[in-house]
Amino acid sequence: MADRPVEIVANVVQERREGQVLRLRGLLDGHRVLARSDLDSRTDLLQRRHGGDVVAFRGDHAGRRAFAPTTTDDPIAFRDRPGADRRAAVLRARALLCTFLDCRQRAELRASGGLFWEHTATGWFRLGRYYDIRYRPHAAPAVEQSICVVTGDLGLVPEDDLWVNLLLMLRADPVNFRATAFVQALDVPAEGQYLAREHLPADRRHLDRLRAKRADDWSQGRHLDAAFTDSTIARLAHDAGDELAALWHAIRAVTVIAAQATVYNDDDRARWRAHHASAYDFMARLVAADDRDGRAEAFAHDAFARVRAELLRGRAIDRAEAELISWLGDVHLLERTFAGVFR
Amino acid sequence: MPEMIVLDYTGHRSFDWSVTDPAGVTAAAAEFAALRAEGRIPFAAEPGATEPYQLRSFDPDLACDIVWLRPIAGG
Repeated sequence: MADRPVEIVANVVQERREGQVLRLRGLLDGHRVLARSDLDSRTDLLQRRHGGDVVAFRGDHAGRRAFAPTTTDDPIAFRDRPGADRRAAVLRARALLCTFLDCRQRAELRASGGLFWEHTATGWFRLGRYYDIRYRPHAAPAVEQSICVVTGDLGLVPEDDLWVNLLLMLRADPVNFRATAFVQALDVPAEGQYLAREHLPADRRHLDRLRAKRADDWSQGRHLDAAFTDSTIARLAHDAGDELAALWHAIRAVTVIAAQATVYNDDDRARWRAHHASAYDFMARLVAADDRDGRAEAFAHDAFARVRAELLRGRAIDRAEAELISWLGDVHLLERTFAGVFR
Repeated sequence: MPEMIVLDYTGHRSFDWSVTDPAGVTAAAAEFAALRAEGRIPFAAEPGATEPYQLRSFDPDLACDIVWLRPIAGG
């Protein structure tokens, strides 16, 4: 049954809502399972994975996904265990989690009530909310993605055990972690320190401001923000010699997002494009510049000014550009267009 | 002394072994096989040290702890 869709077809005997999660007990191929479903899920993705199944529900639960551990047991949900046992387990799990965190992460954990950032080779991940893990890719740091990753024993163990599990999996293989995740959204508002509006119009003066911010963050104990600013500075300093580097950087960064935008279904893509209609116009003008002999540089200046203006108005133009690049189907077109403009 | 750490409803349970204790090594190897049969994945992980890595077999001489993890999936 490796590739056969699995459905819970009957005997949904218990339903409980926990925030964004729907817990169901039901039958899976004749065996009792405990399943959890994200109520906001928009996909009917059906997969079989090692250790469990991503399942779909029929009837009243149609369209809801869940990860169902492959087990014939009827495990006791952690929250249904006796209070004293539960409290002791929570403390033990928190203690274990803390052994895998550094000083900065432990401080974040305490200050935020359970959230902390982990730096990997591919970007920053914020753990602590399994239905809303945040990811800031190094290749496109102007956006923050919301992803969801869980384990088969979700709900059966203290939540901090889940974070030990996910943290170690993330550290071992961040690429696979991101590839495994279900993408909730590619363009969520950043909840932490967010430099997108600042670092796009990067020039030397802006780098000076970023350096001052980094020093201030560090002196105020905002070490994560300082670290993220530091990585931004290092990246931008490389090409800050050209006042147009910001636009160039934005275009390069969003190509990654463009590739990931393919997870959208047709309806979502249509809505996204409609939402960013002005940005499509912006891209059309960029493409048109390819036909303007000798005017590409002037046009790039104009485009850069537009990006700056959009950013000042709070528009996230970079994300729209990503979709536009994907739409054009030729990421390298812009590189050729501005090959003589950007160093 | 290395430990096996198993995440469970108690927060976690753990047990250690010593290479100088053959019976302990045998018991640890049996536990390793049993946990793997449950679908758990063994990772060598040292708190505060380098990145964890997956173990393919039980090594009684391992210098760091073994943390048993569950497979992950998109939620």
